[in-house]
Amino acid sequence: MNPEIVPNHRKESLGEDGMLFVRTEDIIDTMVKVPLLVASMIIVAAIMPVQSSFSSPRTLDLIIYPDGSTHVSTEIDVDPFATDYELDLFGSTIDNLVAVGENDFLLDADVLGDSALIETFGSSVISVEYDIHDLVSKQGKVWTFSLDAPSDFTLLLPKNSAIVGMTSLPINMEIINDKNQLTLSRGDVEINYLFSTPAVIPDTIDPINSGSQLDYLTYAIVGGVVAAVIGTVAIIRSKQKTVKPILDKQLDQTTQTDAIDTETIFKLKPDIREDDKEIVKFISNNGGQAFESELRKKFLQPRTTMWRAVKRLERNGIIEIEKKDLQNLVKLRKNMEEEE
Amino acid sequence: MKTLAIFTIFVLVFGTASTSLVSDAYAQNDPNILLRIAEQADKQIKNQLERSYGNSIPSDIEDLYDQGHNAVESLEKSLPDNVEQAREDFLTAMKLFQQISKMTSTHTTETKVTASDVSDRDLKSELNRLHKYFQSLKSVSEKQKTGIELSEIQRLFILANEQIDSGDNQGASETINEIKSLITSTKKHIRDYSSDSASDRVKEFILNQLEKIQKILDKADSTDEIIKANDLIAEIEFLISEDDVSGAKQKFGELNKIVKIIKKSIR
Repeated sequence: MNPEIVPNHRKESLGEDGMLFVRTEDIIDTMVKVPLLVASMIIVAAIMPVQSSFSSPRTLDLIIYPDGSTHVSTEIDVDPFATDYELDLFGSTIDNLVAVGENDFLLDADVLGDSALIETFGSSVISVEYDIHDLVSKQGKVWTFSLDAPSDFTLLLPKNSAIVGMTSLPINMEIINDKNQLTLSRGDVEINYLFSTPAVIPDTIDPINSGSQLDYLTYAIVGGVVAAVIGTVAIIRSKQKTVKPILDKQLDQTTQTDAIDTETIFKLKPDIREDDKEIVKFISNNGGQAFESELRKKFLQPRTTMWRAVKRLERNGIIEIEKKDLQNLVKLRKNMEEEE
Repeated sequence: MKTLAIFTIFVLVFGTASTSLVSDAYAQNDPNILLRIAEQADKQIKNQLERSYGNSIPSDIEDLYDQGHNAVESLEKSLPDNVEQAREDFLTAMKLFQQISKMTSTHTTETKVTASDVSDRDLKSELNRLHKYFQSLKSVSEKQKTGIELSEIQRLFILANEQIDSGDNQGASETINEIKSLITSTKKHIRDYSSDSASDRVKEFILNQLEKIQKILDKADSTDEIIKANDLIAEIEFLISEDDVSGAKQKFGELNKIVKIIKKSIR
């Protein structure tokens, strides 16, 4: 009267022909789950690229020119079934817009404020290039680039520019033709830069460091010899009281007063770099001459950078280099005006 | 089935969320880049302060500089092991240097760079921009095999460059204006040349779209919009048969607006 309660899953029985019957609920469950899982994955994989592709640039590259204007080039996936695409520009002062579709067709584009309506007519990818004057502002000597980027992008800074402020982390940095190119993440970015003497961030170890140990040793030996020679000469001269030192001093003074003023130099040589002008001004204020080592200290430049600057000025005929006490004495040339 | 539904929802939600997480992930190629940029900024700021103030740097600015310099030193120590700390130090240093730059420049008013300011016109930059523009058009012209002669513009680019180098700004300015005018007419020529193939492309596109629109209209109930849309379709087909592509484009724009309204009413 009390039948034994057997759990469902234990209801395995042998049939009349002795076959073993097994419940197939788990198998059915698995058979349903796997296709569902695969289908879900496929849906996710298919939807995500579509969601993120239209309207988001495939590539975005920016080049800043020395006057602060910026060249934008971008490649965008667009809906191939749409007649046109409204591109959000990064500002409203736009020049030189070119939109090219698939098969390199020039596309018609109308710039309306800070957007451009591009007739895509079936193109699935378009490339757009334009110049913009809204991304860079200048305050004093400091230039500020700011952008709310819709995707990761590259930014090529002008030659001789040095970054002095930044609000986001760069992904990468390369040097292309002496210009710094940063790769930056999407979102708000602000970069401050100025134009200054060190043209680019050194890609390799500063030569001044690699040669410094050797230099110190050389200086120690040469210094010892020079000190001995100077000492000997000083002893001999102190015994021979002559008027020659006074004449030397007078000559030095004459040299100093004869140096032409910087304004005239800059008029004669309008093409010299701003950082070189600073060097010329310093030499001029220093009585028309200065040791190269003094210039290095003043402008906090590595030996090679300053040497190149001095050589550049020498090539321009602005200065001449003399050896004095085993050092380079840089002098402003007196006969520049005559030569010009 | 309940478990199955929850499982499916989980896969979908996780799939969606995981891809957005990946796109926001930050990948630094080489953390030493941070040090190089920060050291350079440090040097520049020091240089700028010495030039601006000599030995009498205002104490608030000097404090900021010291903090920034310390952050750069900390950044150097953090690398290569503690990249997270290095990133923090980098941002701290660069924000401080940015603050200093702004403080030292406050006496001058901010100016937006505009191309129209002729007195402060950077002819070299302008020429480079035009050259980039020209290169884009030249590339299209060559790929389309238009055969448009571009040597005169190239010659003018060389001339303008020489004029700028020799300080002849007036001459350079005139040459640049000439280049601009020639580029505008070149762009028009390229467009005219490719208009035939472009027309075919537009026609094909519109006819394909009309088929799809017709299917949508067949599903909808008869309304004023449907009648208008059908009239427009007939008009567009006629314009295309008459080779009036620009007219067809214009009518197609009108049709699209009506179709949008119809689509909403179907939903």
